[in-house]
Amino acid sequence: MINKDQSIPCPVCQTKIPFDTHQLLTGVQFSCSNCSAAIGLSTESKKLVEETMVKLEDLKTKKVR
Amino acid sequence: MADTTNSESQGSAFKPNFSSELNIESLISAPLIAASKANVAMVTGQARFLLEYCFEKNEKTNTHEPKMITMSLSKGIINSSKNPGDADYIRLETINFTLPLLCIIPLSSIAVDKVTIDFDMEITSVTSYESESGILEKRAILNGKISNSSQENTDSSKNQYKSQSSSKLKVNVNAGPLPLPLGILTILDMYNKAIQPSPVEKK
Repeated sequence: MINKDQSIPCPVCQTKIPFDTHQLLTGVQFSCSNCSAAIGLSTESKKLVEETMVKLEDLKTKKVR
Repeated sequence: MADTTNSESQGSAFKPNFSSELNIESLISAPLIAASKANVAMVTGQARFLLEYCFEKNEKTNTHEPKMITMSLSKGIINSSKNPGDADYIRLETINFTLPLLCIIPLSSIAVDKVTIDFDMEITSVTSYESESGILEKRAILNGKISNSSQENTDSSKNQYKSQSSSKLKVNVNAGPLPLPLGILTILDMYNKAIQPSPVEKK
Protein backbone atom coordinates (compact mmCIF):
# COMPACT_ATOMS: atom_id res chain seq x y z
CA MET A 1 0.00 0.00 0.00
CA ILE A 2 1.20 3.47 -0.74
CA ASN A 3 -0.06 6.81 0.43
CA LYS A 4 0.86 9.07 -2.48
CA ASP A 5 -1.58 11.76 -1.45
CA GLN A 6 0.01 12.99 1.77
CA SER A 7 -2.27 15.88 2.58
CA ILE A 8 -4.64 17.03 5.26
CA PRO A 9 -7.57 19.39 4.87
CA CYS A 10 -6.99 22.93 6.09
CA PRO A 11 -8.89 23.36 9.39
CA VAL A 12 -9.97 26.83 8.20
CA CYS A 13 -11.15 26.34 4.60
CA GLN A 14 -10.88 22.55 4.01
CA THR A 15 -8.47 22.99 1.07
CA LYS A 16 -6.02 20.09 0.95
CA ILE A 17 -2.58 21.02 2.27
CA PRO A 18 0.15 18.71 0.90
CA PHE A 19 2.91 17.96 3.38
CA ASP A 20 5.96 15.80 3.96
CA THR A 21 6.28 14.12 7.34
CA HIS A 22 10.10 14.24 7.37
CA GLN A 23 9.98 17.99 6.77
CA LEU A 24 7.31 18.44 9.43
CA LEU A 25 9.72 16.82 11.88
CA THR A 26 12.40 19.38 11.03
CA GLY A 27 10.00 22.19 11.91
CA VAL A 28 8.85 23.15 8.42
CA GLN A 29 5.36 24.61 8.15
CA PHE A 30 3.10 24.03 5.17
CA SER A 31 0.79 26.75 3.89
CA CYS A 32 -2.73 26.46 2.59
CA SER A 33 -2.88 27.63 -1.03
CA ASN A 34 -6.30 29.15 -0.46
CA CYS A 35 -6.22 30.97 2.88
CA SER A 36 -2.45 31.06 3.60
CA ALA A 37 -2.87 29.42 6.99
CA ALA A 38 0.28 27.49 7.92
CA ILE A 39 0.30 24.13 9.65
CA GLY A 40 3.17 22.60 11.56
CA LEU A 41 3.87 19.87 14.04
CA SER A 42 3.71 20.96 17.66
CA THR A 43 6.80 20.31 19.76
CA GLU A 44 4.89 18.09 22.20
CA SER A 45 4.02 15.58 19.44
CA LYS A 46 7.40 15.62 17.74
CA LYS A 47 8.81 12.77 19.84
CA LEU A 48 5.88 10.44 19.15
CA VAL A 49 6.00 11.06 15.39
CA GLU A 50 9.78 10.66 15.35
CA GLU A 51 9.60 7.32 17.18
CA THR A 52 6.88 6.03 14.86
CA MET A 53 8.86 7.03 11.77
CA VAL A 54 11.88 5.14 13.11
CA LYS A 55 9.70 2.05 13.64
CA LEU A 56 8.35 2.39 10.09
CA GLU A 57 11.88 2.56 8.67
CA ASP A 58 12.80 -0.52 10.73
CA LEU A 59 9.84 -2.38 9.25
CA LYS A 60 10.86 -1.41 5.71
CA THR A 61 14.46 -2.54 6.14
CA LYS A 62 13.66 -5.70 8.08
CA LYS A 63 14.67 -8.74 6.11
CA VAL A 64 12.10 -11.43 5.43
CA ARG A 65 12.99 -14.47 7.49
CA MET B 1 8.36 -30.12 6.91
CA ALA B 2 10.42 -30.09 3.75
CA ASP B 3 9.76 -32.67 1.09
CA THR B 4 13.00 -34.44 0.37
CA THR B 5 11.74 -36.85 -2.27
CA ASN B 6 12.42 -34.46 -5.15
CA SER B 7 15.54 -32.84 -3.90
CA GLU B 8 19.09 -33.77 -3.23
CA SER B 9 21.24 -32.26 -0.59
CA GLN B 10 24.98 -32.46 -0.98
CA GLY B 11 26.71 -30.87 1.93
CA SER B 12 25.28 -27.39 2.35
CA ALA B 13 24.30 -26.99 -1.32
CA PHE B 14 20.66 -27.59 -2.17
CA LYS B 15 20.09 -29.19 -5.55
CA PRO B 16 16.48 -29.77 -6.49
CA ASN B 17 15.97 -32.85 -8.58
CA PHE B 18 13.69 -31.88 -11.44
CA SER B 19 14.19 -35.13 -13.29
CA SER B 20 11.53 -36.94 -11.31
CA GLU B 21 7.93 -36.87 -12.45
CA LEU B 22 5.65 -34.18 -11.09
CA ASN B 23 2.14 -33.15 -12.01
CA ILE B 24 1.76 -29.88 -13.87
CA GLU B 25 -0.40 -28.32 -11.14
CA SER B 26 2.39 -28.67 -8.58
CA LEU B 27 4.96 -27.09 -10.88
CA ILE B 28 2.79 -24.06 -11.64
CA SER B 29 1.30 -23.60 -8.20
CA ALA B 30 4.54 -23.72 -6.20
CA PRO B 31 5.87 -20.28 -7.34
CA LEU B 32 2.35 -18.78 -7.11
CA ILE B 33 1.94 -19.99 -3.54
CA ALA B 34 5.37 -18.56 -2.68
CA ALA B 35 4.37 -15.16 -4.15
CA SER B 36 1.06 -15.23 -2.32
CA LYS B 37 2.81 -16.02 0.98
CA ALA B 38 5.22 -13.12 0.40
CA ASN B 39 2.29 -10.73 -0.13
CA VAL B 40 0.54 -11.96 3.00
CA ALA B 41 3.73 -11.48 5.03
CA MET B 42 4.07 -7.87 3.81
CA VAL B 43 0.43 -6.94 4.41
CA THR B 44 0.44 -8.59 7.85
CA GLY B 45 3.54 -6.62 8.79
CA GLN B 46 1.85 -3.35 7.80
CA ALA B 47 -1.35 -4.17 9.68
CA ARG B 48 0.62 -5.12 12.79
CA PHE B 49 2.57 -1.86 12.55
CA LEU B 50 -0.63 0.20 12.33
CA LEU B 51 -2.23 -1.51 15.31
CA GLU B 52 0.92 -1.44 17.41
CA TYR B 53 2.18 2.08 16.81
CA CYS B 54 -0.74 4.14 15.49
CA PHE B 55 -3.43 2.79 17.82
CA GLU B 56 -3.73 2.12 21.51
CA LYS B 57 -5.70 -0.78 22.83
CA ASN B 58 -8.41 0.09 25.31
CA GLU B 59 -8.52 -2.89 27.64
CA LYS B 60 -11.90 -1.93 29.10
CA THR B 61 -13.78 -1.75 25.84
CA ASN B 62 -11.41 -4.11 23.98
CA THR B 63 -11.15 -1.64 21.11
CA HIS B 64 -8.28 0.14 19.43
CA GLU B 65 -8.25 3.91 19.71
CA PRO B 66 -6.04 6.10 17.51
CA LYS B 67 -3.00 7.81 18.99
CA MET B 68 -3.49 11.53 18.60
CA ILE B 69 -0.94 14.21 17.83
CA THR B 70 -1.19 17.96 18.11
CA MET B 71 -0.51 20.29 15.23
CA SER B 72 -0.43 24.04 15.18
CA LEU B 73 -2.17 26.34 12.74
CA SER B 74 -0.89 29.89 12.25
CA LYS B 75 -2.92 32.50 10.47
CA GLY B 76 -2.72 36.23 10.11
CA ILE B 77 -5.81 37.97 11.53
CA ILE B 78 -6.70 41.55 10.65
CA ASN B 79 -7.56 43.63 13.66
CA SER B 80 -10.43 45.80 12.43
CA SER B 81 -10.11 48.22 15.33
CA LYS B 82 -6.63 49.22 14.16
CA ASN B 83 -5.53 51.22 11.16
CA PRO B 84 -3.59 49.61 8.27
CA GLY B 85 -0.43 51.43 9.26
CA ASP B 86 -0.43 50.24 12.87
CA ALA B 87 2.05 47.63 14.03
CA ASP B 88 -0.54 45.15 15.29
CA TYR B 89 -2.98 45.66 12.40
CA ILE B 90 -2.27 42.05 11.34
CA ARG B 91 -1.56 39.75 14.24
CA LEU B 92 -0.50 36.13 13.96
CA GLU B 93 -3.02 33.87 15.62
CA THR B 94 -2.00 30.32 16.51
CA ILE B 95 -4.49 27.60 17.20
CA ASN B 96 -3.98 23.90 17.84
CA PHE B 97 -5.78 20.97 16.37
CA THR B 98 -5.44 17.29 17.02
CA LEU B 99 -5.44 14.55 14.45
CA PRO B 100 -4.63 10.84 14.51
CA LEU B 101 -0.98 9.94 14.06
CA LEU B 102 -2.07 7.60 11.25
CA CYS B 103 -2.95 10.61 9.07
CA ILE B 104 0.63 11.83 8.76
CA ILE B 105 2.53 8.54 8.57
CA PRO B 106 3.66 7.90 4.97
CA LEU B 107 2.40 4.36 4.62
CA SER B 108 3.96 2.56 1.71
CA SER B 109 4.75 -0.95 0.69
CA ILE B 110 5.31 -3.01 -2.36
CA ALA B 111 3.67 -6.27 -3.27
CA VAL B 112 4.15 -8.93 -5.88
CA ASP B 113 1.79 -7.98 -8.70
CA LYS B 114 3.02 -10.19 -11.53
CA VAL B 115 4.54 -13.66 -11.58
CA THR B 116 5.76 -15.22 -14.82
CA ILE B 117 6.62 -18.90 -14.80
CA ASP B 118 8.59 -20.16 -17.77
CA PHE B 119 9.60 -23.77 -18.26
CA ASP B 120 9.55 -26.51 -20.86
CA MET B 121 7.89 -29.68 -19.73
CA GLU B 122 8.25 -33.15 -21.07
CA ILE B 123 4.97 -34.96 -20.63
CA THR B 124 5.76 -38.42 -19.34
CA SER B 125 2.28 -39.68 -18.56
CA VAL B 126 -1.34 -38.60 -18.73
CA THR B 127 -3.95 -39.82 -16.35
CA SER B 128 -7.60 -38.90 -16.22
CA TYR B 129 -10.42 -39.20 -13.80
CA GLU B 130 -14.14 -38.72 -13.99
CA SER B 131 -15.48 -35.91 -11.94
CA GLU B 132 -18.20 -36.67 -9.43
CA SER B 133 -20.63 -34.25 -11.03
CA GLY B 134 -21.05 -35.95 -14.43
CA ILE B 135 -19.96 -38.92 -16.51
CA LEU B 136 -19.02 -36.87 -19.56
CA GLU B 137 -16.77 -34.58 -17.65
CA LYS B 138 -13.35 -36.13 -17.75
CA ARG B 139 -10.39 -34.36 -16.38
CA ALA B 140 -6.82 -35.05 -17.40
CA ILE B 141 -3.79 -34.77 -15.21
CA LEU B 142 -0.51 -34.19 -16.99
CA ASN B 143 2.55 -35.61 -15.36
CA GLY B 144 6.02 -34.86 -16.53
CA LYS B 145 9.39 -33.42 -15.81
CA ILE B 146 11.06 -30.17 -16.62
CA SER B 147 12.96 -30.56 -19.89
CA ASN B 148 16.72 -30.71 -19.80
CA SER B 149 18.64 -28.07 -21.69
CA SER B 150 22.06 -29.28 -22.74
CA GLN B 151 24.97 -26.93 -23.13
CA GLU B 152 28.25 -27.84 -24.74
CA ASN B 153 31.28 -25.78 -23.93
CA THR B 154 34.27 -26.10 -26.20
CA ASP B 155 37.71 -25.30 -25.01
CA SER B 156 39.58 -24.89 -28.32
CA SER B 157 43.04 -24.73 -26.79
CA LYS B 158 42.73 -28.15 -25.17
CA ASN B 159 40.24 -29.72 -27.57
CA GLN B 160 38.04 -30.68 -24.68
CA TYR B 161 34.27 -30.80 -24.70
CA LYS B 162 32.22 -30.36 -21.60
CA SER B 163 28.58 -31.28 -21.64
CA GLN B 164 26.29 -29.87 -19.03
CA SER B 165 22.61 -30.60 -18.73
CA SER B 166 20.32 -28.69 -16.43
CA SER B 167 16.62 -28.31 -15.79
CA LYS B 168 15.36 -24.78 -15.58
CA LEU B 169 12.20 -23.43 -14.08
CA LYS B 170 12.37 -19.68 -14.66
CA VAL B 171 10.23 -17.55 -12.37
CA ASN B 172 10.05 -13.80 -12.96
CA VAL B 173 8.60 -11.85 -10.08
CA ASN B 174 7.57 -8.21 -10.49
CA ALA B 175 6.74 -6.14 -7.47
CA GLY B 176 4.92 -2.83 -7.57
CA PRO B 177 3.32 -0.33 -5.20
CA LEU B 178 -0.16 -1.04 -3.99
CA PRO B 179 -2.80 1.63 -3.42
CA LEU B 180 -4.03 2.03 0.13
CA PRO B 181 -6.71 -0.49 1.06
CA LEU B 182 -10.26 0.88 1.03
CA GLY B 183 -10.57 0.32 4.78
CA ILE B 184 -7.59 2.55 5.58
CA LEU B 185 -8.72 5.17 3.05
CA THR B 186 -12.14 5.28 4.74
CA ILE B 187 -10.56 5.67 8.18
CA LEU B 188 -8.24 8.43 6.92
CA ASP B 189 -11.14 10.24 5.25
CA MET B 190 -13.24 10.01 8.42
CA TYR B 191 -10.41 11.31 10.59
CA ASN B 192 -9.59 14.15 8.18
CA LYS B 193 -13.19 15.31 8.15
CA ALA B 194 -13.25 15.40 11.95
CA ILE B 195 -10.36 17.87 12.30
CA GLN B 196 -11.52 20.64 14.59
CA PRO B 197 -9.28 23.56 15.58
CA SER B 198 -9.12 24.56 19.23
CA PRO B 199 -7.59 27.76 20.67
CA VAL B 200 -4.14 27.56 22.23
CA GLU B 201 -4.16 27.81 25.98
CA LYS B 202 -2.04 30.77 26.97
CA LYS B 203 0.30 30.03 29.86
